[in-house]
Amino acid sequence: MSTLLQLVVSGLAVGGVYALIALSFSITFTTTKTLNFAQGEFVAAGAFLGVTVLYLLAKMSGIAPNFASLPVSASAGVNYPIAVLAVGVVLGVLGLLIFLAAIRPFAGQSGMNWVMSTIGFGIIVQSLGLAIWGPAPVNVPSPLGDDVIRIMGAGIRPQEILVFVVALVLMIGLDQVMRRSRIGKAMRAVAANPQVAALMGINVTAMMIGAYALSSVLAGIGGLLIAPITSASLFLGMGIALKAFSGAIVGGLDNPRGCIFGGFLLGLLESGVALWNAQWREIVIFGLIIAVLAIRPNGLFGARSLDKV
Amino acid sequence: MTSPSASSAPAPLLEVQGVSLAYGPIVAVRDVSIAVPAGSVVAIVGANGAGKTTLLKAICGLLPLSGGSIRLDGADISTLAAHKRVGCGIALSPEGRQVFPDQTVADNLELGAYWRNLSQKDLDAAVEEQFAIFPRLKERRNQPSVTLSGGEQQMLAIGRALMAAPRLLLLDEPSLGLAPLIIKDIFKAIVRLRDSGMTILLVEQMANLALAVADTAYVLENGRVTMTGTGQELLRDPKVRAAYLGAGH
Ligand SMILES: Nc1ncnc2c1ncn2[C@@H]1O[C@H](COP(=O)(O)OP(=O)(O)O)[C@@H](O)[C@H]1O
Ligand SMILES: [Mg+2]
Repeated sequence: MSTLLQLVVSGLAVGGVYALIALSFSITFTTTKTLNFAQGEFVAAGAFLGVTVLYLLAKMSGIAPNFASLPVSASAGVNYPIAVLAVGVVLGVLGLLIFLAAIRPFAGQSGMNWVMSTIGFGIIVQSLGLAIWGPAPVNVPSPLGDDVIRIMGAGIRPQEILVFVVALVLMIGLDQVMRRSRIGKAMRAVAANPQVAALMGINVTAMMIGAYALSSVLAGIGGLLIAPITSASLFLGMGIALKAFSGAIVGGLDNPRGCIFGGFLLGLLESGVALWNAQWREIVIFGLIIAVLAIRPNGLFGARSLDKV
Repeated sequence: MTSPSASSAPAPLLEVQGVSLAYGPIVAVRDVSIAVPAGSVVAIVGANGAGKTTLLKAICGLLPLSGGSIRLDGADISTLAAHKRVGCGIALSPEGRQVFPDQTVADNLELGAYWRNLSQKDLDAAVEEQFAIFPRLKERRNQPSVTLSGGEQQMLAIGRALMAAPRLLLLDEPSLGLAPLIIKDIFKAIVRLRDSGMTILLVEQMANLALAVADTAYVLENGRVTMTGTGQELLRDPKVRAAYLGAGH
């Protein structure tokens, strides 16, 4: 019972991050029909930018912190929220930059140049990160402290609950914005048919920039959320982005709610299989993904099932 | 055939002058000039592939001109971005309806008024105006528009264009793929819009219907205007009858 609870909680936490980033893939895919293959590097950049902000805040408050292992107090109070905010702003700008540099030049062209250009952008970001921060992983304290809490015998890290709650609140908020607000409806119009959206007076390019900025913000925040659990590393993002992308594919890349579901599913599966046998984790998960796609090529909730409605 | 813009007439609301359009190396429209006087219905008829849709797209700014100019109320809008033209008063009901399938009828209509940035109260009032024109849409207001029939989607596409409060309404094949009875309904609505003073540029393969409601009409063949006249003149023209009205009409 206690191990099951533990498994579910850590699955939901990691799954929350996968879901957030799966959603971020879906956002650019639906609006621009392109994917940001630098998303993994953006996740890592978010984590490191966040640590840097925490480090600077700690320094300003008079302690002499060690960057590679910040004290718990560095994340306390408003520091962590400030870091999240700063990461959001910087990653938003990064999203705008990658759209202008790596997507816009190839928009409307056939071919896959944007695949190479976004991968290249990611490598540049990672190399800059290595130059600034070096390759060593960094421990990030949780804003809720790192003491394990005991619930019904299960050892649960407060950060796991925080990750799940923040990811869920962000995703529900976004879902509602997309469904109810004027700008959300306009963005869905661009996703459905950019030419006709332009006829409504919607500035399609601005919406696409917004989609890339939003998607990048989610990636960065995802990185900062997961960092206290996994520790931050410039190579952290690749694996997370790949899992998130798998979750998006399984849920249906063109269905935001499907992507969220797929992300959580992958997180839960991962923690479940790892409990049983850590070595088999990746084999079982990717085996399952391949099986799902063989049966449902557009994912569980992709366009095919929608067409039938 | 006489030119529609006779010497005494004021400058037309829309003036397409010597426009050529191409998709890469393929020239789809060559040196086309048409004029749409305010308050009139102008029809463009022609076979499939003649370039009608291409011309409407260019008027909306979805396709760059490779020659010529487009003027609205005398102002050159040839290079104005598509999303800014609706604010100048041009709205299109596109070929094949192209409603936003996953959004409700009401949301589609509200998107039509996106550029106007109305308060919710004014938006609701504008939506009600469309329901007055197309009552069938009202019962379906909260349904995703993908669940509508073809005829209802056509009404929605026209209603969405009207939500922009246009000065010039462009209709691309509103009869396409619809049953005769539904087509009749749609054309009744077009006639009512005409009678209320709306300026309309109507593109149709159903030449008889379009010519019957049009003050002025153009025949487009292989990207060129080959005939011009009043709707009635073209309806009576033997060449038009042979080519576009055919047997059975
Ligand atoms: N996106 C496109 N790319 C290339 N050629 C096109 C495209 N759209 C239309 N055409 C060509 O342009 C010509 C005019 O097409 P169109 O304007 O759709 O005609 P109509 O609306 O009168 O049926 C046709 O020969 C058609 O094949
Ligand atoms: Mg056409």
